[in-house]
Amino acid sequence: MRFYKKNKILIIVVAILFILSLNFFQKPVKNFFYLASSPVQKFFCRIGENISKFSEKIRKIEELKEESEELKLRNQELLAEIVSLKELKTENKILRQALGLGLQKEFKLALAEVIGKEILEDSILINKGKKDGIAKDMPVITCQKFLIGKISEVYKDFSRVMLISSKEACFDVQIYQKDIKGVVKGKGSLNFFLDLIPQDKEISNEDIVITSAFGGVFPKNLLVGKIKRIKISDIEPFQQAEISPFFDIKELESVFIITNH
Amino acid sequence: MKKILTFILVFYFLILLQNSLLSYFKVFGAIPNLILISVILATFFEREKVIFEPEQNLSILSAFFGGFFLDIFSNRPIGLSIISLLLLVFILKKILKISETENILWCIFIFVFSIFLFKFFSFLAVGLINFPFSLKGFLSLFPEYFSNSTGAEIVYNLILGILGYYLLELQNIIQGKHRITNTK
Repeated sequence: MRFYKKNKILIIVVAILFILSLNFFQKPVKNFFYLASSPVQKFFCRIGENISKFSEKIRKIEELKEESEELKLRNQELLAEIVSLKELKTENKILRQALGLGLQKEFKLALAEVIGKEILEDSILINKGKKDGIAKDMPVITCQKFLIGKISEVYKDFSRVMLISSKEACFDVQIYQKDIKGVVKGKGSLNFFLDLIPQDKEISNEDIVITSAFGGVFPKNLLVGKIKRIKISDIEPFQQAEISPFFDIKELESVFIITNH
Repeated sequence: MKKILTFILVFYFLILLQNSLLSYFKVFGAIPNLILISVILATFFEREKVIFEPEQNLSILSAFFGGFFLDIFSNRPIGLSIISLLLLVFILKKILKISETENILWCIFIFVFSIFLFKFFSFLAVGLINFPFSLKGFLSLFPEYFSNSTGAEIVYNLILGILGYYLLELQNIIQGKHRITNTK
């Protein structure tokens, strides 16, 4: 140890010179080490490869997971788009029908979707309200010009429509192509009847009932229904008749609100 | 002698690990230099008289054997890394002798400085052995040595260095040894 301490630098220099002299046999020296180490290096390489493959798999799983999430999201977006397009298609169909009847020339219309049906109360809920310019008592019709009812309550985004079958409904009508006037009254539960037809006037089944301008509740010439059964009583001063509506509440999906009446 | 043999085996194991297993764990193109980290740590702990006694000059021996294995498992002439590491240990010892700071930030600075210094020595050594020597050719090696991956290399080495530092500290605690700063 004392020799080492005294000749520390000398030892280092000799060692370095020895090492540098190894460069003359660099290739065999390195070859020897590579040969001796190759089994261990191979082993380590295999471990590294396995770990690398494993982490690659995990990364790929993560990527697939992300991709799957993205695709799910995209699928949902596309489904929403399909639903929206279907809605537009239906709306387009309705508008085309309305255009065919010339409704837009006659009235200023607002299209609304039916979002709730309360048959017991003879009313429906639509998705247009105060912010869409809807007001109380505005008439509500279908694209075929069938009378549905009138706006009874207006909310900010929604409105309630009182059907013509409601017990509170009462409006003037006339028989199509006949000079016979009367009044339609609601009976509730989707039923309504024609009243105040003078006994001397001749009405028959299948006669079409339309609105008249008299009374001003609805615009004239809106289709109300067809006479189903006539009730004639000698003691009553007027004739009565049951009317079957033109519209089917079950199939009612969208309606028009006449905003300029 | 037993400690020297252990050193040789440890460095041999480290170089094999570095050249095989760690090549699969590149971070931004950088692989940690386990030999360099070990040499720096050996110099650090030698000063603290805890694991390595300064009389044994194990930091110099670690630089010697570490450098030897670095050269064997690279395409450089044998001796270049030895000289670079010996120079590094020499400078590091001088700095640590002057400074008595135990601050972790100071240690990190010393570590980063050592990595840079070793890189610079390697750059010098490789540049100087290219005969005939041309300054232009020498300087053209500079970007190659201090490329974009240098930052990643420093961070990677630093993380492993800190980890090694605390592992050795833990060993001190387990062995019940107290830190005695080597003062003048």
